Amino acid sequence: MNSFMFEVAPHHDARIPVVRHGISRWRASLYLLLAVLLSAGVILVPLCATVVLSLSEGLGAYDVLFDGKVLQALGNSFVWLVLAVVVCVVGLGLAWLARNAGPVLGGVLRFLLVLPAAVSPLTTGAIFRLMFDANPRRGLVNALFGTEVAFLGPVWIWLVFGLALIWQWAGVAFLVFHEALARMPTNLLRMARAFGVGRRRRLWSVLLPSLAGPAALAYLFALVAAARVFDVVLMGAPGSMQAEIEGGGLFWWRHHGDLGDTRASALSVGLSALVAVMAVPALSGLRGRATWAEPVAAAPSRKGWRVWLPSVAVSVLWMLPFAVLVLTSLRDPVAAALSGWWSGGPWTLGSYADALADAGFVHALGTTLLRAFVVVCLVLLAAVPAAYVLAHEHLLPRRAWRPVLLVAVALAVLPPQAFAVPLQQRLSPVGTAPALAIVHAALVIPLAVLVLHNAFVRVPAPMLARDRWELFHVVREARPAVVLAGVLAFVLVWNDTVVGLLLNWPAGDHLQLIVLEQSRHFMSAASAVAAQAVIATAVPVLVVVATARWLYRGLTRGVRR
Amino acid sequence: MSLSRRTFLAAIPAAALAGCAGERPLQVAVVWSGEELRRFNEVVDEYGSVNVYSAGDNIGALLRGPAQEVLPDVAVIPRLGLLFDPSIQGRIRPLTEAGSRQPEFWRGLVTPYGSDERLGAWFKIAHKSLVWHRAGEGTPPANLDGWQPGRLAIGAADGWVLSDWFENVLLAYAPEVYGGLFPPLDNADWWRAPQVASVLKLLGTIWRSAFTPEQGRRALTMQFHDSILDVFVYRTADLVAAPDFALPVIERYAGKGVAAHFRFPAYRQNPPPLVVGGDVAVAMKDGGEKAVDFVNWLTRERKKPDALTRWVADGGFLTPFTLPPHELLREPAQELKAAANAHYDLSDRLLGGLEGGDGRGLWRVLTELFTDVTVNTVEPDTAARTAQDKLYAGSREGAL
Repeated sequence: MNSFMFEVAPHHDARIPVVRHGISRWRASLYLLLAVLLSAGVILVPLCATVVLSLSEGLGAYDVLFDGKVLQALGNSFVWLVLAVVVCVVGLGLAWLARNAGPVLGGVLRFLLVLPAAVSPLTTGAIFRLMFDANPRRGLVNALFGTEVAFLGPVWIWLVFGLALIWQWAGVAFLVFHEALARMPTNLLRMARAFGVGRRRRLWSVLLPSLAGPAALAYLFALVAAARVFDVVLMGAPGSMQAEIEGGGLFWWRHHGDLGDTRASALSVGLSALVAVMAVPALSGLRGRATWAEPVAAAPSRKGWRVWLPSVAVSVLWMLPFAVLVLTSLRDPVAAALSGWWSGGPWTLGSYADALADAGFVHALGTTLLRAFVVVCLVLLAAVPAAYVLAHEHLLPRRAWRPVLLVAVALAVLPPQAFAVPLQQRLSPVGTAPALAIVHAALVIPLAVLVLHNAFVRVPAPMLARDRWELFHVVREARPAVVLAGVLAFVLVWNDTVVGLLLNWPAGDHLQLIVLEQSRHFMSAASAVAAQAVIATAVPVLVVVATARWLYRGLTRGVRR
Repeated sequence: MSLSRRTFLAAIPAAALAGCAGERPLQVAVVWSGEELRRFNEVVDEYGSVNVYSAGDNIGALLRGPAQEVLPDVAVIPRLGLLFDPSIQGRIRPLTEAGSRQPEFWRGLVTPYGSDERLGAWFKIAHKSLVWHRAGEGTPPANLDGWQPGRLAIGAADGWVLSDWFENVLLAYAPEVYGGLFPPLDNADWWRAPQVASVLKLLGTIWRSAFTPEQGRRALTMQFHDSILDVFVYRTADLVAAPDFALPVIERYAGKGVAAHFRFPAYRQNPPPLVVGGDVAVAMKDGGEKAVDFVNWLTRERKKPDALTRWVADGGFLTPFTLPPHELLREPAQELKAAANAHYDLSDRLLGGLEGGDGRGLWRVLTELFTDVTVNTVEPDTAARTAQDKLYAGSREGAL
């Protein structure tokens, strides 16, 4: 998804236009083969099969959309999608706050705010459930305010999950807006002011249009996160409250057995339609993008408490959930079940020792690592040649790129429920482990192609390199984007719960599902769950930290410079 | 720690090579996690090469799933109903009579109608008709009719806690209806019996008398363990209805000798209810004779002390054979053996629309009943009728 940033904020390359050597159409389609086969086989064909299945008894199956419980779940989905707007607004507010915080403070904020996006939603659910426990002896928020509010009970629970969604995804919106504000057309603004254009008109005619593109992009990110809400509810909401806030995706997973294949398909088509309708403003926002100015020379960073105080406050707030998780994991299991971490010791590494002595957990750690590695290889193997061929102008003119982009976006936004049933029936003969890897890879490939394509088109052709080595040259030059695609694939697979659960394979060997199992008695397993979650979180966070420099370059430029 | 790290490092190549090894160990799927899983592993370690993995509440989906190759060889299932699910029953290898002989009542539960082969054998059984209180502080009520339990703790976040309440009241009030509500007898009309409405109303009245709206909201966020802590650690409540396996939880967090219990009260002249639960071990077809041998070994009568008898001795674990040394559990164990007015947990026998699980089936209806009478202060009578309509709708085939 991140690659939209390039669409929204194209970089003007003042160099001589690249002339590429042609490769034959025959060879070109060979390059595309793996990516097309995987996305078509795993997503498109099962999707069509789902639509056909849902219509196999006429429109009758769509009655399911008017059932009371289904309506409630779809209504919840809608609320989640509206929360996506809130996430964007918070991201914009934070970006405004940090707009001239200077390179150091700005960099720190960027890093801290984006970090939660690498945490699995499952872990996010666990953290917020810990913080908002109704018992003031255990729940941080009730302890802080000296109240005893059942935050995880009726009505209030929406507040908790709204905050969780904001904590996890506002950083991505922040990144987009932060980048956009840095490219604000300041000259135009200055000119408008000189000509006596009023404040309000300046806002309407200059500021807002220049933010429309990034806003659409940020909204799209948040929308995908909100549309896929699943594991955060499974982990974070008490069982009794899950029906109250679960969206259509989770409802589908619980009930598709009772609904029967036809009506379950109708529900997933309805769900996809809802997401698609909500995504329309984003797509039109992206289409109507304005051409932007080059990043202006960095404004002199303001100093003083008005900048750093809110920045420090935001940083502390964003780090707090991590602190809660780590501190809980370090407590004695009995103490952690009875009281919050501020009650003090006994402090111990016992929960980590237990986690690492648990054969199932350690086995899952190994399998998940292996699976993520295989998927990264598979994704790069398929996406790099595909993006390379698509970057050739003569094969696919720039005009035609937009439909490809739209298809890729659609594939990325689609809830996996939309194609789970046919997929399950077709893929089970392949064998569990390869099937899971293939599905994961197919789900990431559209994103990877988007990211890589946008970087590849900007790689200048080498003067002397021969045609057949050009692919390697391009990959070397666009290294940040390749790293970005790989890390994206790794994090998505590592943090996955949905695919494992949906496809009903014994997901017993996937890490997040082991953590989910551990939480059956949530509060009394607090320390154990926290320790496992810390281990499960450490890996993607370390990967992101280790590659942060490339990732940022991959996000904003995509090419080594 | 160093040993753990070595285990960890060893696991990566082990995972990579898993497919290449020779004869694969017996695959055993269970639903437990944490402490219970650890103890189960101790029991199994005495058998030899067995790979135990937790499928959690998804075990039904796993056993019904389309992928044959990932079916376990043996499954230990807490939901009796799954054995009679048409898509699972065909995948089970019935046990031979050579195996252990379990008491008549328990054998009957795992025998399909009109058949004499058993689908599984009981590994663990549970007594779900107990009410726990602090030692020396509670008095049992004379009768369920008009029982006002006072400061009650309910872990309403766990649907099974609410369904245990429903089952106990139902079995106390109308034992004649109980047997008609699940397969193979079930036809939806049983759910429309007037007794079901009365039971729901009685249940709503008891809950209403014990909770203010604010306490109701809190109860909805509390799980089974939390409700025990409320009585025995925080002392914000006095009573909690909980199965025998509450004992180790109490002793872990509040110490030994602090608890006592009484039987769930009877309704008027009816016998007191005895709702039972349990985990049944089944051998799957693909597991072959090896799987059957393992099930027989796992569920046999213990003559000598081993890991399982140690588990029984520590409390919270009953089997059809072993009498627990803990004096609080002796009586419940004997009641389980006698099995007077005993019925297996209803929600664990239901299939289809009323099948349990978070946010669905009977659990969801009872959660909504609980919310209505406590949080929304709806009259128990009205709430009971709404709940009965939902149950009737849910029990019809193919309905949500």
